[in-house]
Amino acid sequence: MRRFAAWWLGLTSAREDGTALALLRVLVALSCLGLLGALCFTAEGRQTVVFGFTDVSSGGYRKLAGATTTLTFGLLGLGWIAAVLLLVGAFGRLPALVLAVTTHIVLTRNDDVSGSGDALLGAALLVLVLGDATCTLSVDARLRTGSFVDGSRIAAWPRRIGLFHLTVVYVATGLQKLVATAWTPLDGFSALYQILQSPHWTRFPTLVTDGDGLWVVPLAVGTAVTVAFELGFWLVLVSRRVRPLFATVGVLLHLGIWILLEVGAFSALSLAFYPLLFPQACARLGLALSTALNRAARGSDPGRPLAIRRAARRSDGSRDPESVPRAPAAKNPSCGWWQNARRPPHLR
Amino acid sequence: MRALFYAAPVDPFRPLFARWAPWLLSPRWARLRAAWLLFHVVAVALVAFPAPIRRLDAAIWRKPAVGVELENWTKRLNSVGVRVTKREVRDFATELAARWLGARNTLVAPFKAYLGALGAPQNWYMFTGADRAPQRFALLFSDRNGTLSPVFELGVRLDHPELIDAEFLDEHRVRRALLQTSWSRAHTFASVCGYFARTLRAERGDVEEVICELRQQNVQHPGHLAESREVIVTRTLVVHADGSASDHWAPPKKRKKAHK
Repeated sequence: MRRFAAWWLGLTSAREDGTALALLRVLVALSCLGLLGALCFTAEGRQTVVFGFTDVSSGGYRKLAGATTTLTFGLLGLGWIAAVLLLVGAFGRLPALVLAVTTHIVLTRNDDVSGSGDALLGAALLVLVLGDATCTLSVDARLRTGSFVDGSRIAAWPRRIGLFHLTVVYVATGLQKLVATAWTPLDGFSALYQILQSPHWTRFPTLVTDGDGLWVVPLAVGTAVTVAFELGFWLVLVSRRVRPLFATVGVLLHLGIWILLEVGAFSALSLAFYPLLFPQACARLGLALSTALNRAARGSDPGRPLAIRRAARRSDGSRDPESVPRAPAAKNPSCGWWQNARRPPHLR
Repeated sequence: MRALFYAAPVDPFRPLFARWAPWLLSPRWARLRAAWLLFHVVAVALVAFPAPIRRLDAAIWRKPAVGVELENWTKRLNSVGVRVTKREVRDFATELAARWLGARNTLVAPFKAYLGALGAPQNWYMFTGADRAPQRFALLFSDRNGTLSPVFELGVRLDHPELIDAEFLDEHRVRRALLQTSWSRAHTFASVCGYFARTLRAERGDVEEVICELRQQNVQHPGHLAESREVIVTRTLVVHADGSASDHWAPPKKRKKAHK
């Protein structure tokens, strides 16, 4: 028990590069911009919002007390602005919090039209509220350090929680599938063959039936791979070696879902979690980006806050880099509040 | 200088974190955080663990998809030497689900409330089973002359794109609502039908009656490619000109045959 406690304490106290979490932020923000943009800025999207998310008195199909058109579109618009801020990485956790609240209020109000994509969005935004996702690849980093890329270390547990959430999504849905014989050899792995004929999900309702049995074997293989992938995804938590394999299959799986089925932003949101599988590769990517940006900047001095860099300019506009001290971030490789705090002995 | 640094429009939580930094960096907080994360992980795992969506009642067993599953499991059990009838398998599954749901609901209630408050519900029922007999929503209307005109049948046809937008019907949320018209025990079918009745009447003044139907057709099974798949109407709702509605809902065998 003590060994487990020590191990768990170490796991939740570790720190790491913030690029993986920043990539999650960027990809989730892009997914949200697509999701909310389609609902707010297209005719069919607006009609869908009125249909599914407003009260019957405002044109909706069912009673949703208080859900007026103005309020619903106001919240979605606010969410869209928050998604833009989340994408550029401004104002830290605040846009993620606003986006989580607005989307939760609007998109989960009516179970009939909410899907797993909305639940996954909730999990992703929870991770972004908990973690320091704007430490790097963000406007925050630019204002704080003078560069969009900051190699400071952040808490690793939000990334691990995000990865755990993704694992639970796959494993839980894989276990559910075992109840149905169509997902097993008992019914010839026929699930995908049948699902792709459902008018409620498929993009091409006659694709399978017009094939005269052409799709039987490929879709049986797809069904078997899907179940094996979902049931075995927990392996990524215990072994780093299997992660590239699962990531490759996962990307192909979600591409297939995106092409053949109409399930909204679910595929995009699932793929947004994938950088969390590779924190070290993401850190290398961050380093490469930092080097490239520094080279491109040539003469600018990344590593000091913009306010300090502005102060470094003389009244005639010329630079005086020696006149101001370096920013704390440049001396202390850490992010946010951490850099100004004195580390206690157990964390030094 | 530090005040100036914090005045920049960056993370508004940063000053708070800086203020609490001594405590947030203490071993006590590290232990507290570890305990909370353990609770969180357990909560997510428990709530996400598979369970029946709701009690297995008679209405669920009447669904064709569930009926076929029951038949398949009975056949497989018989083939491995377990002599059971469909009724026995159904009774066993109903009792097991009721017990499992009862125990699970009691256990996960506090965790579910916690995750609900965090905005991270754990409902991962995605394509759990293939719907072997999906019920398509179809919309028709009759004008003052009594002429019946089809408007659309989901996934099959759209006869009046000027009345119902094709891209609107392609929206996954709209399709999901139309799916719920056949699965939901609530009044989704009547509500959706009422919506389309209002839409049609707003677009055309001569609409007399609006008719909503659920048309059921078995999907093609890879083991029986040549099997004929007839379409049967399982439910019809007629919304009259005065706003009243008459609902016809009967077991599929008693319904008329729509078309082949």
